Amino acid sequence: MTFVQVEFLVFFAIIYTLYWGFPHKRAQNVVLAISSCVFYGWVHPWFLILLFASSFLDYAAGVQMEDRPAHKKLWLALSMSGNLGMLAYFKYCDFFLENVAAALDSLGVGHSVHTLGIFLPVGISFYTFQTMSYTIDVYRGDIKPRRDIIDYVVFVTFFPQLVAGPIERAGNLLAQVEQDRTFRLSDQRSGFALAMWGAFKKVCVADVISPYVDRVFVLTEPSWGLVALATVGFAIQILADFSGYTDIARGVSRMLGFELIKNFDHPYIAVDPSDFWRRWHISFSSWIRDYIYISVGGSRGSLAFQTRNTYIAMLTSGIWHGASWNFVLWGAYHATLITGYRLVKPKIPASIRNAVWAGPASVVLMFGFTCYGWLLFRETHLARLVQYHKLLPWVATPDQWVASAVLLVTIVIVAAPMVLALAFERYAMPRLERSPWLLPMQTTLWAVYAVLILSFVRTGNNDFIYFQF
Amino acid sequence: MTATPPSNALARLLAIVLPALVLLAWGAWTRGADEHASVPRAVADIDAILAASKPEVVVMGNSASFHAVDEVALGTALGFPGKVAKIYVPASRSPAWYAMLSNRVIGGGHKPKLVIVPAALHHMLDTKMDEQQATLLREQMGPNDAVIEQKAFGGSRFAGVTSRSREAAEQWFEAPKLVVVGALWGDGKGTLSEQGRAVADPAMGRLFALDGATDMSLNKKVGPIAAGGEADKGGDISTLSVEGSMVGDIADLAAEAGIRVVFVSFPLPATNPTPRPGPEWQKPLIELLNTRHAGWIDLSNAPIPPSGWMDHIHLQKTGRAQFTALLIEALRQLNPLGEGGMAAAGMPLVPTEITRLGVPDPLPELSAPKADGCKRTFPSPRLAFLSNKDLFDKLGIGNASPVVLLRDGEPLRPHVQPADQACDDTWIHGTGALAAQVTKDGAWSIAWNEATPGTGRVHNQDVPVWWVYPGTTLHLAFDQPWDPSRGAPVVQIDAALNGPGELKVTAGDVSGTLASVAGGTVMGRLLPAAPTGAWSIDISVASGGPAAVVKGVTLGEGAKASSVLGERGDGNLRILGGRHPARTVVNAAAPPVLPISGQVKIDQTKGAAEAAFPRGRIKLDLYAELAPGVVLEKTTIGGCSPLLLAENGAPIGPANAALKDVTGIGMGRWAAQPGGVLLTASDNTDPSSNGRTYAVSLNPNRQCKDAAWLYPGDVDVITLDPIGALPEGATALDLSATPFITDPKGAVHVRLEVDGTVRYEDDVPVTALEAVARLPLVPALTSDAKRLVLTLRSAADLPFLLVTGASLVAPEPEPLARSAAPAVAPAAAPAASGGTIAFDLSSLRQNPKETLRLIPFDATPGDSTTTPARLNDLDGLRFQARVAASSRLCTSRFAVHGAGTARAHLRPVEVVNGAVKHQTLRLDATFFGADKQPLRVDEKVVVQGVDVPAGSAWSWVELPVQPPEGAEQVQVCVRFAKSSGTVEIDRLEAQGSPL
Repeated sequence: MTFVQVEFLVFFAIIYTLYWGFPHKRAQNVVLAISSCVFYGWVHPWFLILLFASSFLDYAAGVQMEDRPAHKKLWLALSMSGNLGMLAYFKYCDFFLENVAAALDSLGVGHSVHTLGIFLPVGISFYTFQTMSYTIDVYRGDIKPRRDIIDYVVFVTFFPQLVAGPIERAGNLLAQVEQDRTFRLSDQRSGFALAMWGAFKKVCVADVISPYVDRVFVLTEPSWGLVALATVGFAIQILADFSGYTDIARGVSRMLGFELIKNFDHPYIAVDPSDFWRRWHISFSSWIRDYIYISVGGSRGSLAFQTRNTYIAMLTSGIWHGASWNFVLWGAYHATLITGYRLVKPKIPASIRNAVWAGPASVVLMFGFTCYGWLLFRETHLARLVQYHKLLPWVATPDQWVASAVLLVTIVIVAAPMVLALAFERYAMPRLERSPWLLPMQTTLWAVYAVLILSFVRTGNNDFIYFQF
Repeated sequence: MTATPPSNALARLLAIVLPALVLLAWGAWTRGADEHASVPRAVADIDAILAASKPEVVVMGNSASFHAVDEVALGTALGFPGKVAKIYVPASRSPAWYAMLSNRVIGGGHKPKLVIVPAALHHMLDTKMDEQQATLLREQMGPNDAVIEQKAFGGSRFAGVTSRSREAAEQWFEAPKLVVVGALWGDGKGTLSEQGRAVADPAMGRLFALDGATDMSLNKKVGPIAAGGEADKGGDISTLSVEGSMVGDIADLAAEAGIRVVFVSFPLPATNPTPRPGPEWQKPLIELLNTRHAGWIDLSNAPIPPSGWMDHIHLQKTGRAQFTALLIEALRQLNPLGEGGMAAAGMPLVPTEITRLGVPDPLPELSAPKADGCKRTFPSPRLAFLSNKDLFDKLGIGNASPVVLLRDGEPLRPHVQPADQACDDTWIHGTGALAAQVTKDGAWSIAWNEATPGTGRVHNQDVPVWWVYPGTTLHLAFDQPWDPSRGAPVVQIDAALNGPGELKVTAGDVSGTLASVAGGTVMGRLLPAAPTGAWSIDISVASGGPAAVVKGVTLGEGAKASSVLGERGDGNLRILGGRHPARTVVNAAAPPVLPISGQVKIDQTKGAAEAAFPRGRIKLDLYAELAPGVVLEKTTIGGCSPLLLAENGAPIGPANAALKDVTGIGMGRWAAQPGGVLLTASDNTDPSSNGRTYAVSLNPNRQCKDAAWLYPGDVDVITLDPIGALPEGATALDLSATPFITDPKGAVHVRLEVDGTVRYEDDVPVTALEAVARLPLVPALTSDAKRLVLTLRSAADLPFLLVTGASLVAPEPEPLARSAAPAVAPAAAPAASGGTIAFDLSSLRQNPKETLRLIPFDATPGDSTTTPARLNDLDGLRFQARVAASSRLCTSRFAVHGAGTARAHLRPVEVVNGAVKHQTLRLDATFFGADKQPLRVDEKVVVQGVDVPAGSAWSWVELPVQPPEGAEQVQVCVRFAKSSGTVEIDRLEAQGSPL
């Protein structure tokens, strides 16, 4: 089930009642473990086999590293190869076969290579990265391995963040699993507010703009304007969709007494590429930074060495998103942006850097670069990407101009709540934080959210975008 | 929002009151929303149609219903000219029809005498709606449609509130967009919002509708964790319900208003993959309608030819005329407006039982297996006649061996290609052996497959296979007597024999025999006395006879025929070709001697040392002498070959297997190649040193799947000797053949003799056969014809010909009422090329998604260009272009002045696993107005094996076009929708009077 289904509301109501009905942490964790399995195995129970395979592999690896320190490397290798092997098979095998077949075809070699049509179990990239981080942290000595299997299972399968993150570290989530949780009204209120806001973003922003975006990206002959606007639309869609999911996950977790890490921090007001990655999918970018970028050398050494490390990290980030060349291209593009900015930054005169308009201009410029990245991310056919680059901005049919106008107004409408929320958080919230009037404002806003969500919710295909990764 | 603010009593009170007010206001507003809501455009359109015609007859349903009926012809025939109104809701089901009848027709003050609801049976009974369907239904609903609310939405008041709220929210959401568009492009008439809608809706519709079939799903490879995604794909028979649908409610509503209502079951083309609800669904529906005094007409088997369909559900003009004529005839018989009311509809005949009786002949003993790793090979030459290859060649079904391989009494999974196998307890039935890859050994045995029906695979789809094993009988029992309103109790049998022998058929009180001297498809009819009680049909093969497959059993004739088993055709009788394999025996003269002039020699091929097993090559330098210019290696179509390769005198195969199968699997597979034959030994030993002899000869059995070879200087005598008569009579013979030469000349002598009388005899040029030659039969065949002999005689200097199609064409149904002839457009000056505007290469457009290959005709094989820049070099030449999956090929736009024909000359080329890949493509003509905007798209779905021959013959595909008013230009395209495949096209043009 997903967060925006009626089934989830019923499911959560039951879990919530049971969970807080038990006074002890142990019983609460058992409730969480069972409910997470129900949540994940709702449609395909066999998904649980993979989830538990990954979990138990890393659990065993952690215990063995402590019990047999001489074989630490062996267990680390086992864990890595097991998790990456699973990812390789389910996520990348068909991609590899497809490319082998294409290569053989282009060489005119007869072959019987064909894809296997492998079903990608949802969330596999998230939970394998989470369990790998546990093993690596144990290997590095950053955390102690856990021996309580229930606690460990809750850490891996915790249903609010299981399918699309945030990718938690054991130091944060596992520590909370092991602690007693206290029911606090303030947590319930703020958790509910966060979940409602997330649901609003998903239903009333992402799902409203997505049909427009999808239609443009399947047009055989779109105009430049339509592609550009659809790309901006996609930028809004993916942020609302993914941050919406994260907010629901964090809100629901908070209502259960857990505090998950913040995954987004207004990424579209980033002023440079590095800033963007400090704000976008923070749990993943920090994972890439800590376990890949720093492991291969990080920002030490020469510029060439740093550049190499950046490309390694960003290409990994790209291919993590999916088995497709456009994601590789997207990763390479962001690596190029970061490297390019690293080269250009020292050459920007101080007069420009310190100008009043520099900040807003940087935001606009970076948003443009980000959107171009989303074009690479969204369009999986490389040939069509080439086609888009051949389009001329001033060439369009009358129908395309009309559609562009409609799309532009749609973007403005759906972006408005996001912009207002940013302004509210930045300027109004500090003043209202201690005001008694915040409570009625908040409850009224919830009612408005509820009305709008019920008005716009779709029963059809409304999966979260990041489920595919 | 995480901090905890201090609070006071007022704030706490407001925290409860304010949201409550919001929710109350929302509830109150949605309750009154219907009263204030503007009338949706779809509703207004229907009201306008009804107001304009003041109808005596209303035809309603969904878009398929709309395209099914010619209202002018219907009105004239029923005596209400100009008084027939057609109203519809796109993609709708019975709740929307109820809403239209209740709110628009009756609620609008109209009182027609008759309401006709033509719809496919599964549309009538479908109880599931997607979001769009629900939205469109809501548009049609009034404030007090409790019946619909209950049936369609489960009586949920909450659903109504959210739905109305959604509509309102969408209206708000749309408003600013429409205002902006109205301000920019409006014509000043009406409000900005109205102006915007007038511009935006058509523009968005035109822009996005052309690609509407594209799958926009992002997460298609991801296993869902939420229910819905997979189940929503449609075509699910589990969502059908007679009681759950609103058909009965419509009948009740009409009866209350004093309106007669008739439901008409609508046909679907063969290209429509939707599962057809069987007669078991019709039965309770008819019972329901009979109790409500509503009429029922079953035209689900109406013989609409493929050319009558616009796509997989909608009829185009010719099909519409045919369907309307059948409807008129059925209405005359039903007489719904007569004083006495309508006669109760007859029940469909449904077999109460289909069983296989008798004990089949024992199978030959299974030999001890040869072991190689986990592979087990059971030599079984005596079972070769039941191998997958043999079944496919003779019966047109593959992967359907009636034999099961058992280990310790447990069956292994059958029909898995060895190339795909792991050691996973699977097996395949090869020509000379059963090959298995197993996890363990045990006591091995074979047995007949007891499943009734079994499962075969045709065009990558599982199909039921009704086997009749030697010594057994397929018994179809009926507990109903024959309904005289159904006409004569004709029983049509369509079957295939897997070898020489007979199939005995008993229906009621008569029996007959279907015989074949070589195996293949047989068909015939029986005319028993009308059964008055329980009766049965028995189809049996005597002990010692061949195995047989029953492909279809049809009861009744013409439009009243219904299929009780398998599929029913389009009314034409196929002798060769088409979707079904040959319905006859090729009984040809002895083949000419193959003039081998060179030495037959076996040597090792390049790379053989690295291959999994040795393979050899026979060099043959003889084709040039046989027929100059012949290209025999191109006969690799679907495994058909005129050649026979024998190992120690015994034929091996499959012939002309795909190269990867020859090199990867072997086991006797071979393929003709330029300059010779690449072969493997039947047991994958080295053919150059295994001591066996290999010989190439012409195959005396000319028949290959659904085609027949006609060798140079050869005579093919094709006989059709059914038990009964031809189903419909015939006015013409359609004949097509593929010449295996680059520039064919000469003619084939064709003679058709029916019951001893020659109905056609003439020389038909080979070039005419490359397309489909339609040969008129004078006089036309009547339905009492008994025996048919088609003789094809080739001259010695003619090329190898593969006769891919021969069909007796049923007479076109004569419409009972014709619409007024369309106004003839003023003739314009004919084009320079005599009325034909050929393809304009300079405007060829390439879909960037795919590579469009352009191959000059005079190029050597393999020489092609993918560089658009070179296109101009080819200007003025004939060309071949390949259209691959998801791509299209279009002409430039050119002037249009009147009715004409858009057409493409094409042939399928992609060969997969030895067979031309099944493919469906679309020929369309888009008309543009003076403002260069598209006005309308006429299209035709072209299905290989139905609209074009199943082989790789060149053929014309044509689409009659009638430009809409205001059309100034037309553009013709060939495109693939979703399926994959490749066709070669050398002409894409439009011609007419004149374009």
